[in-house]
Amino acid sequence: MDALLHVLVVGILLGGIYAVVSLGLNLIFGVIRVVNFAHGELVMLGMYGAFLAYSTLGLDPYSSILLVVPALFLFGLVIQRLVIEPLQAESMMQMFATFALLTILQNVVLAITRGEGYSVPTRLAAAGVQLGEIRITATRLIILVAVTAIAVLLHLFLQRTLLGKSIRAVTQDRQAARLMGINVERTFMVTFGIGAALAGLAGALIAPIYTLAPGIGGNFILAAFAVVVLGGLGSVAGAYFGGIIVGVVEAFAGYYIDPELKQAIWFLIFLAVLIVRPTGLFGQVGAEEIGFREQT
Amino acid sequence: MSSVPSTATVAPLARSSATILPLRRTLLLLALGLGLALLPLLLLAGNRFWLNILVYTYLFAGLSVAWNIIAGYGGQFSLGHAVFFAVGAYMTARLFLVWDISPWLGFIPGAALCALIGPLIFWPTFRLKGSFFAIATLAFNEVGLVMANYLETLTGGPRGLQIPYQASLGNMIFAHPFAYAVLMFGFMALCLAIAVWVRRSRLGYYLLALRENEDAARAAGIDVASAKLRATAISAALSATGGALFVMYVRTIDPPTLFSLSDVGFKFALLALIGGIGTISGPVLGAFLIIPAESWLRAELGGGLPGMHLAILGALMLLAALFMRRGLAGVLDSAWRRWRGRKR
Amino acid sequence: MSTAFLSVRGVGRHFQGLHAVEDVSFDVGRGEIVSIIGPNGAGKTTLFNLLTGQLAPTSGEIRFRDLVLNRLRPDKRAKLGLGRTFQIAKPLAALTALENAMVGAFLHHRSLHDAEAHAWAKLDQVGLRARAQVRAGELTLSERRRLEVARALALEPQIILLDEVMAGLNPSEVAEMIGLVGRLNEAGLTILIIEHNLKVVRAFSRRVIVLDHGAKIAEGDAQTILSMPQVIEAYLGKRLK
Repeated sequence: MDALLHVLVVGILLGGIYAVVSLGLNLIFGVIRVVNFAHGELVMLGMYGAFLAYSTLGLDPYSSILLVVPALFLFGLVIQRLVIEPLQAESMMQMFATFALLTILQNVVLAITRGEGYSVPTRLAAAGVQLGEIRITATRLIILVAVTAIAVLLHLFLQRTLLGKSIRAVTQDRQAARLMGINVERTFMVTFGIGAALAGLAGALIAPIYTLAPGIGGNFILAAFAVVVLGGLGSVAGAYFGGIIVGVVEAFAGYYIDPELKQAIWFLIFLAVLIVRPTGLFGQVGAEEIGFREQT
Repeated sequence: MSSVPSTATVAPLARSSATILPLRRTLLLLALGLGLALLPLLLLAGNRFWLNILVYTYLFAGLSVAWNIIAGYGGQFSLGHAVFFAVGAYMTARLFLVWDISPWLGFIPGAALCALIGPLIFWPTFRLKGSFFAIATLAFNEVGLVMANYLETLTGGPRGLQIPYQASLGNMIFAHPFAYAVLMFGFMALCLAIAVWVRRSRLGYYLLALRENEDAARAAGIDVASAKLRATAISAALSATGGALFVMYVRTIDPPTLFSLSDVGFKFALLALIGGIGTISGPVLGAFLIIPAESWLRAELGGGLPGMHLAILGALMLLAALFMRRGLAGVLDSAWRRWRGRKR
Repeated sequence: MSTAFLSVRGVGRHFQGLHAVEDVSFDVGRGEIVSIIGPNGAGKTTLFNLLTGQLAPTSGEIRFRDLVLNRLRPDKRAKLGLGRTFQIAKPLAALTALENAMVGAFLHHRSLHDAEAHAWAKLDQVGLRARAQVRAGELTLSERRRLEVARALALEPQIILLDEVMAGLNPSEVAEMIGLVGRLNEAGLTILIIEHNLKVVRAFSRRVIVLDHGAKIAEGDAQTILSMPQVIEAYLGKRLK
């Protein structure tokens, strides 16, 4: 029983990390329909941003969010404007371009850091909560709390604000949105900006847990794609619960089946969902078709 | 609009795309292209450094041509072809190591297996479109990686498989890279010949049609699923063959090498996109541009800052994506047409 | 069972409670030319999609040459001799006009050479020979519509379903298209045509079927049908107001 509970807690905490990484990816994929292979690298930039804020200004990673998030928002705007938008009509080339971006970002950081691994200390590193036999470190708990808050805020933003509504309108039907006077290109830019900012936020939040390496984005990107498809395209709840589900599945498969197979198992679940219900668990039926339908 | 050809309207100077060339001219062009591709082999015969690069260029040109059959002609953007590549490599190595079966025969079961499992694993994903198909096949790549690590008795697990150096023609192990370069050239020529054959066959037209519009393709009597599956079988079998040749050249394989997204799975796509996806020559052009550039950059910059050569390569890829959307083949095509236009 | 060439019996299709087509029955004889008219959203295109297999009917039976088509895939129906065009022309944009026609011609001609020869003949028939080597994506609307017809004809169909092939054409192009459809019918091809333009309907239809809200509300010869009050109300109501 204890083991079960332990694995569950470990899984949920891991799921929090997947969820926070997936929120931005899901927004970008869901709205702009771009498979952003460089999303893991945006998370990586967020981590290095937190390190930079620490090493130059002595900031705690949680305070560095105030700098990292706006910086990545701007970076996202630039990517959308200079790379994604010019290739709007060609989804394969877009995919290819984000892959090129991944290669550039990863290796530029590698060249600058010369492959040295950094870690970002936080005052909260030693803090934690005792839950019976299980000790939950503050750094992981913060992620779970933060991702819950972010998911709620993002949901409210998309539902309540004018900008959020125009993002949803563009998601549903670009042509109709355009006819209603929505500037689709600008909405896309803002969306990519928010997606990148969320990636940066994710990076800053997980910086205290991982040793920083230029290739660390690769640890998250595939999981995040799985989460997006599992949860449902463009659905905030999907990214949130999808992340937790993937985390829990991974923890259970790792404990009860074989640690080496844990990834294969969630990939099989992911494939099954993709095939049986391509809209995902929380996605709107037909959502996966939007953007592939003929635009007349 | 009468039922006899109207002579009243003069044909506008054809702004046409690829006309259907007569078979003889296609074969002539193919021979010409292969001759050109053979040239560096003859010029560089003595240079081990460049021969090694040439081996990879021919091999990956062939692999990208194979990928292009289903992904370029058929529009099914697979990121899972590393699975077939790896099955071919493991199968050949295993048969050679355990039963001493010559790779000249040993590649066949792997290719046959992939012609079978390729359609089988792609079949459920074929109703997914565009990027969804790409992501699903990417998942195949990851499952493949995990399984290769896990199935130690077959793959040697994380430690991989090593083929001892026993040079002989029968073993497909050679002392000099020149022999490998010839071998890989043969593979590329085979892939090209098959691609040309597919492109000129009914299947080729069906693939193009379903890539453009599946509803219209169905209404035109095309069994869309069957066309995709047949193309997958051909593409997968050739990829497995490439994997077999790869393992006999490097003689040591492990899961991270075979399932590397940037060096294998995505590479096939990358070469085709840079060269011109969906064209016959595109993947070859892409390979001849990227593989030597990559190796040269690594050799020149590898000693300096780590990762610098890859950063530059990434920047080149990004520029190619932004400014050569139809790839090198597209650039050459427009240049050729402009030149012909001026001549008239 | 009737000996009709194409027989539609009580066919319906609903989408989550919405009846797009409901209990429609009619026959089409060999060599006939029949028009289907009705206001926008009457279910005409849905009916075509049911006939050619893009959609499966939720009720009723579709028979063609005494074979039940209900569960047959579109490509199988094409092989049986059903050709169609789409209301929104679906040219295979990256292929040339000739290659578009060849895609159809491959159904009965396996070799490249035969398919090409056959495709040329179909392009001639619709007057697109001069544009054969142009990518379909670069053709004008009128040319695309004719290309759709050529691709369908290349299937050597026994019946062809034309979905608003006149829409968006100018009067002289409409006249050409009417001429083409007339010639095809005279040559023995059975034709089922969705049309908005009543002038066109009068031009060649001996028989007209009227759909409204997914149901057949009238059927008969063009003169009678077009003067029936309920048809005028359903079809022209908006215009008379």
